[in-house]
Amino acid sequence: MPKESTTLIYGTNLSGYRIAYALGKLGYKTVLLNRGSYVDEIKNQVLSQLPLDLCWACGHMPQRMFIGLGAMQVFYNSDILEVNGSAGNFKVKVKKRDPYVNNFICTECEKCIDVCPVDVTVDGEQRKACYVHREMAWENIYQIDETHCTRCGECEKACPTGALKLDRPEEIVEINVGAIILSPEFDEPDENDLALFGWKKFPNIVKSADLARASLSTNFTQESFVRPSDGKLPKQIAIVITPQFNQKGIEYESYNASAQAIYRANKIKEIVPEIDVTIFCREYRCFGKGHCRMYERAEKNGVRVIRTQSISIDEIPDHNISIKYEWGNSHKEQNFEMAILIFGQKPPQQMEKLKKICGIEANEHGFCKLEPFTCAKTNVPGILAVGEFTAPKGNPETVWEGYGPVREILRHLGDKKIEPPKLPQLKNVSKEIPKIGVFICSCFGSFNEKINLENLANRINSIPRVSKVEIVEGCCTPSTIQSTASKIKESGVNRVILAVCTPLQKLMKFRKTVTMAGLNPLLSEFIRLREDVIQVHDDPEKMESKAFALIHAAASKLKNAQAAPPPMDKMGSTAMIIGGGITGLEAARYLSEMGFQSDIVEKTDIIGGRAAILSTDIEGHEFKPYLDNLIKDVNASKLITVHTQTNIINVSGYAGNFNVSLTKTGEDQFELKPAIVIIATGALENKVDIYSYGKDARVMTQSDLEQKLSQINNGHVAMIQCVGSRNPNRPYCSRICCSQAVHNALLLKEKGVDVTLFYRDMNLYGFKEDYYWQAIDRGIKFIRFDQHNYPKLTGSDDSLQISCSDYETGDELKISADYLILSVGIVPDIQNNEKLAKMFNLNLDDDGFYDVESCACPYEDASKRLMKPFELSSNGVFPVGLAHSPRSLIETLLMARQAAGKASVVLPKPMMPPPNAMYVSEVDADKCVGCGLCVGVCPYNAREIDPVKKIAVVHPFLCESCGACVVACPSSAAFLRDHREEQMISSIDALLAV
Amino acid sequence: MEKIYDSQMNVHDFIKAMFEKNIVSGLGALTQLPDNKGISYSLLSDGFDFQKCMPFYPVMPANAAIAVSKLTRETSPSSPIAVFLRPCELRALIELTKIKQARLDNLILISFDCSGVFPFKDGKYPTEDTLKRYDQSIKEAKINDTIRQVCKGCENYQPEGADIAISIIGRGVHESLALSFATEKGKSIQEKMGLTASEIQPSTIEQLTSDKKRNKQELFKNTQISNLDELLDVFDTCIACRACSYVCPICYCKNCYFDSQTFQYYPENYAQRLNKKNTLRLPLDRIFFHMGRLSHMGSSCVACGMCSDVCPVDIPVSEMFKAGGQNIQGVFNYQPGQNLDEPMPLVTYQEKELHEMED
Repeated sequence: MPKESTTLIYGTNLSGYRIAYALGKLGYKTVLLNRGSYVDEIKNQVLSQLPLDLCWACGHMPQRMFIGLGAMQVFYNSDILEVNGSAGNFKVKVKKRDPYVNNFICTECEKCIDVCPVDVTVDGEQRKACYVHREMAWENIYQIDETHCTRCGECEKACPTGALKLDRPEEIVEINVGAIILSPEFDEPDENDLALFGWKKFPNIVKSADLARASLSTNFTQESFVRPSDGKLPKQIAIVITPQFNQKGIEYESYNASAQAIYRANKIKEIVPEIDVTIFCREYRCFGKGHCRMYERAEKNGVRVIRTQSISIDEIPDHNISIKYEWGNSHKEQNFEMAILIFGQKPPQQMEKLKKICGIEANEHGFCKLEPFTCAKTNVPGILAVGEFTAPKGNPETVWEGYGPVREILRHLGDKKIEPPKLPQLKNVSKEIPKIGVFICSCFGSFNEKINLENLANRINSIPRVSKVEIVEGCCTPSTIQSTASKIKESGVNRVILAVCTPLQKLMKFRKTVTMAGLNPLLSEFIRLREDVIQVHDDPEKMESKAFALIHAAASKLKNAQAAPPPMDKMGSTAMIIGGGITGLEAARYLSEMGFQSDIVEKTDIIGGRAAILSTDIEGHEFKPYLDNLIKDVNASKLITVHTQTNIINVSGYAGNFNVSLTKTGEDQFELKPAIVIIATGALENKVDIYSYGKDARVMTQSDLEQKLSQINNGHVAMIQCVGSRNPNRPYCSRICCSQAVHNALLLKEKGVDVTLFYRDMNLYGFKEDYYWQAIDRGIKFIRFDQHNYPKLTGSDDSLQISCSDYETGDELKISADYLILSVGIVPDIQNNEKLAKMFNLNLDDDGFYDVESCACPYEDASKRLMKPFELSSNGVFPVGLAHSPRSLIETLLMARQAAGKASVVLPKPMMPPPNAMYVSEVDADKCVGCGLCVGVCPYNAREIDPVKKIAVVHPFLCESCGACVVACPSSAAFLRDHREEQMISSIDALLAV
Repeated sequence: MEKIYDSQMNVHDFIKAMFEKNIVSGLGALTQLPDNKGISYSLLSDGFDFQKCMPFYPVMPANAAIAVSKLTRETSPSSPIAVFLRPCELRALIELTKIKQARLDNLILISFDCSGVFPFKDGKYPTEDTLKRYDQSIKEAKINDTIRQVCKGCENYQPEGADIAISIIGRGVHESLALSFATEKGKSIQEKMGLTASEIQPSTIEQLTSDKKRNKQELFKNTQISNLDELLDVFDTCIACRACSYVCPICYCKNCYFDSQTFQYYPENYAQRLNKKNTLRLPLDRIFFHMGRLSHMGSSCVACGMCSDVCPVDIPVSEMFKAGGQNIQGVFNYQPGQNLDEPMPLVTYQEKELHEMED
C-alpha cells in the first residue's frame, strides 16, 4: 500500500507549527487539530513563558500563507478520536466544528457587531454577544459568545460575505495520514496547583505571564505592574519562582523560569528604580545564553536574590504580602506590597487520552516518553511527540524541534507533493503608456456610510494618467476577488491602485486580485482606505482629501513602476560541515539521509571528537555505541566525504554559493563550493591553575576524575562547582558541570566513597533535578557558598584540607578530603572562532561563542529572531553545538538536526528569490562608475565590484534593502527595486501638493 | 623632512635621464603643441623632443588627474609611466584612486611646490612679460597677483605624497632641479639615478604660507554666503551648462545624478509646483544642482580652480566650493588627497558622531 503524504499535527505548540511550516516548504500537506475555537485559545509555551513584551504575529503568518497555498488545513474545536493503521498509513478519526466566523472570508467590517442586540459585560469588558476577541492575536478574531447569544440570526443576515454562519455542526471526519505529530500545548498551573503561593486567594499575587499578556499591546510600563487591589504602584515586590518550592510532581521548572524572574526584576527596576525587588528561589538556573549577564545587570540594578530552601506566603493587612523563609537555621520574614509568581509547567493533561488513542507511553513524570538519542520518536513508529509535551523545555529547543524531526517524519510519508498554484499569464506592459485604474473598495457598502466615495472617485478622475476609476464591493472574498479582477481586465489599464484596507492581513488577496487580472503585482499599489482614512478621521472632507492625496501619491509612484522579474540566485545543493565531532557527524548523517551531499572538514586526523572519551551521562545515555554507529554510518555513506587534517584558508561567496579554499596536510590546496555551511567546531575544557591543580595529583577536573573513577573506592571526595566561571571574566554557566558532578558523585557514593559538593547554584534543570534529590537521599553533602567567597584549599599533607563558609549559616566549615574535584566548565575556542567568524562574517557573542540570529537564545531577542520565516536568516551558515553555546551532548544533537533540517528545506531548490525580492537593491549598469562607495557602506556585504565589468554587483541574498547604497551612490546607479527615486520623489511631491 | 638633493640637471635632462636609465617608458606632462599653438597635458614616449615639455608652465588647461584617471582606470600601465602633477592634481588623483577611478601601480608621481596657475580664460596664454614676473615671484617666494583666486589662497602648495618632489620656490624654474624622494618608489629611482650627493637647504617659506593664509581668509570673506537670498544672487546668472561638473576631477560620475531620470519630471509635477508659486524658472533645479554637487564632492574638493575657469558667466564656483569643501572636510577631520589609506568620510559610519550637527 502506498504511503500517505499528509501529516496530522495534534495541538498547537510551537514545534507543531514549525513542523507544519517545514513540511509545507518541502511540499507536504499537514492537517492541524486545534482544540480551541481560535488560533491561540490554548496557550502554547511561547504564550505561557512570557514575558515576550511584543507580538509574535510572524510566528503565525506562515500558517496563513500555507493555508492559502493549500499546504495546510486547520480544524478548530477539534479533537482526535481514534487512530488505526500503522506508520505510513494511519487512519485517524477526528471531530471538528468550524468557527462561526471564517476568518479567511471575513472582511472585518463589524456589521455583525453593529446589529447584535445582546449587550453583555464579561470580566469588566462591555461588549456584544458577537465581538472581537481582545486577546493578543495575529488577526482580529470575531467570536460569538455562546452563553449570551440568543441565536436571533441578525449577524448572519448582516454579514456581507457569508463569513459568519451560526449553524456550525460538529462533524466527524476520517483522514488518512502518513505520520502523526503530537504537539499539545503548555499546561499552566491552576489555582489548586499554586495554592501554596496564594494565587487567586490574595489579590496582590499575580502571575508574571498574566502581566505580560495584559501588557502585550502597550509594552511593559508602569501601569503594567500596579497592585490589583487598589491600582497603586507597589513599593516592594517579591518575585517567586514557584516550581522550586512547590510540591514534587505538580509543576516542572522550564528553561527560562530563573531568567524570567531576573528579566522581570530588571524591567521593573529600569522603569521605577525606587521599587525594591526581591527574588525568591532555591537556585538561580541561568544556563541559557546571556542569562548570567542578565543576573549581573540585576545586581547592578539593586535587585535582591534570596536563595532559600522553603518559603511560605501569607496576606497581612492592606492586602500586603508576607513571605517567611528559611535562612540558615533560623526563619526570616519580609513584607511586600505585591508578589509576582513565575510558574513552571504541569505534566501534560492530554497524556492519558493520547496514551489510550495512540498507544504512546508516558515517562515517570507524566510527560511523553521518547526513545533515547532521538528528539521526537515515541515508542510507536510514525507517531512523534514534540515540544512541551515531552519535557519542560525552552523556547529555542521547542522551535528547533520543528526542524529536527523532519527526516524522521519523511520516512513515513509518500512522495505526493503539494504544488503551489500556477501563476496566470502576466501581460507585458513595458511598451505601454501608463494607464492607471483606481478601484475603490466600498467594503460591501460599509465605507459609503462614512465617506462619499462618488465624490472621491470624481476627484481621482482628474489625476493625470488615471484612466479608470471604479467603486467595487471588495477584493478579499473569492467572489469579489474574481469580480474585481475582471473589472480590472475589462478596463484595459496597465497599473492598478486598490483603495482598500490593511494589506497586513490581506496582502496575498490583493496581489491575487491584481495577478488574476493579468498584471504583475509590482504594477499595483494598495491604499489603506479603512485604517489610514476612515478609522482615523471624523470630518468627511478631511477623509476625502487624505484619501485623494494617498491615491494621488500612489498614482505618481505607479506611473514610473516597472514589472521586472524578481532577481533569482542559484542555490548549490551541497553542505560543508566544519568539525568532525559528534555534532558535525550527526548533521552530515541527517543530510545524507535526506539525500544531500556534504563534506566534513576536520582539522585533526580522526573524527568523533571529544565525545569519544565520554561514557554515560547522568540520565544513562551510553554515548559510545551511538558514536560508533554514527561514525560507521558516516563512513559508509556515499554522500559524505570526510577531509581529515584539513584546514580552511579562505572563504568567499554567500548563502547558496560559497567558495571555500582548503588545505590538507601534505596535499595541494583544494576548493569546495557548498551552498550552506554548518559550523560544529566544538569548544574546549577550561584550563585552571588554582587549588593546586596540576601540582597535586589529588586535585582533578571532573573529566580527569571520569578516567580515574575505577581507582577510587573509599575515602572522601570533595567537589567544587563553578571553578573559574560565572565570574566577571566568564559570566556564563557551562550548563553541563552540575549534572556531570552529581553523576560522578552518585557513582562514587555507590562504591562507599563520601562526597561533599560545594556549589553556588545547582543547575540540574528539567528532569535532571531528580538526581539532586537522589543524591541528598544517598547522603551526598551539598554546601552552598557565596560567589565572593569560594572554598579554600588550606592544607595538603596526608589529606586535602578545605575550608568554606556556609552561604546561609555563615558557619566556617573545615573538611579533609582525599581528592578535590573541580568543575571547570567549557570555554569557547576563541582563536578558532574568531578566525572562522571573520571568514564567514559572523558575530561572536560577548563570551566568544557564535552568535547567530537563528540560534538566538535570550528569549527577548529570540522571539524576534527564531520565528523569522526564512531558513537563510543566518545567511546560510549555521553554528551548532558547543561552538554556539555550552550544552549537553544530547542537546547538541538536536541543534545539529535542526540545522540540517533547515538546510534540507533550501538545498533542493535550484534557484531562489531573495527574501525581500520586491525591494532588493540593484545596479544601473549604465550609470555605475565602479567607485565602490556602496561596497564600503553596505553593512551586509551584499555588494562588490565586478572585477571584469568594474561596476558594482549585488548579491540579492545578502541585501536587506536598507538603502545605504542608494544614499552613498552619487550617480544614482544604486536603487531599490520598486522604490526607485523617480517613483518616490514623484510620490512625495504628490503628497506635498495637497 | 626629506633631504633635498641637487640633481645638477635641468628638467629636460632629468626627463631624458629617466628614459635612458629605463626608469620610465612614458611621461605625462604639460607640453607645447606643434607650431606653438598652445600647451596641453600630453603623454610622451622616448624619442620625443623633451625640450617642448613644460611641466612647470603656469596654466591648467584641464586638471591632469582626469587624464591620469582615464589612463589607468581599466588597468595599470604595463611599464612605468612618470606623470608631472601639480599638488592639487596629485591630491585629486589620490582621491580618484580611493574610488577606483585610477591606479597608482607602475605610475611615478612627480610633483613640485606650486606657485599657482593663471586663469585660462578664452584660451589665452600668459604673455612673455607675465611669465617673467611669475618666474621672479617664484624666486622671491612671493605670490603673483594675477594667478587664479584659489591659487592665491592655496596653503597646500607643497608636493606631499609624490614619489619625486621638486623644490622650485626660492630657487626659480631655471636652476638645476632640487629633488627629494619621500616614497620607496622614489628612493629606488634616486638610487638608479645615483643622486646621493650635494644636499640643498630648503628655502624659507613661512612668509609665503602666512600670506596665502591671509589671502584665503580674504577669499572666504568675499565669497561667503550667509543666507538664501545671497545664494540666489550668486547663482543668479547660472545657465545650467554643467561645465563646472565636467571639468571637476572629483565629479567622476558617468552621468551626473542631476541629469538622471530622477529629475525628469512629468508635466503634472511642473503643474504641482506652479500651483504654489505661480512662476517657475526653467530649467528646474538649477541651484539644487550646485548644492547637490557640493554635497557629493565637497569632502574631496581639492580646490584646483577649474570650475571657476570654465564658468561662462563668471560665477566664483571654486572660491565658494573651496570654502564649502573646507567646512565639510573640517567636520570629518579629513584632508582630501593626503593619504591613500585614509577612507573617505562617507564610508566611515560611526553610530555616535556628528551629534553637534543635529538641531
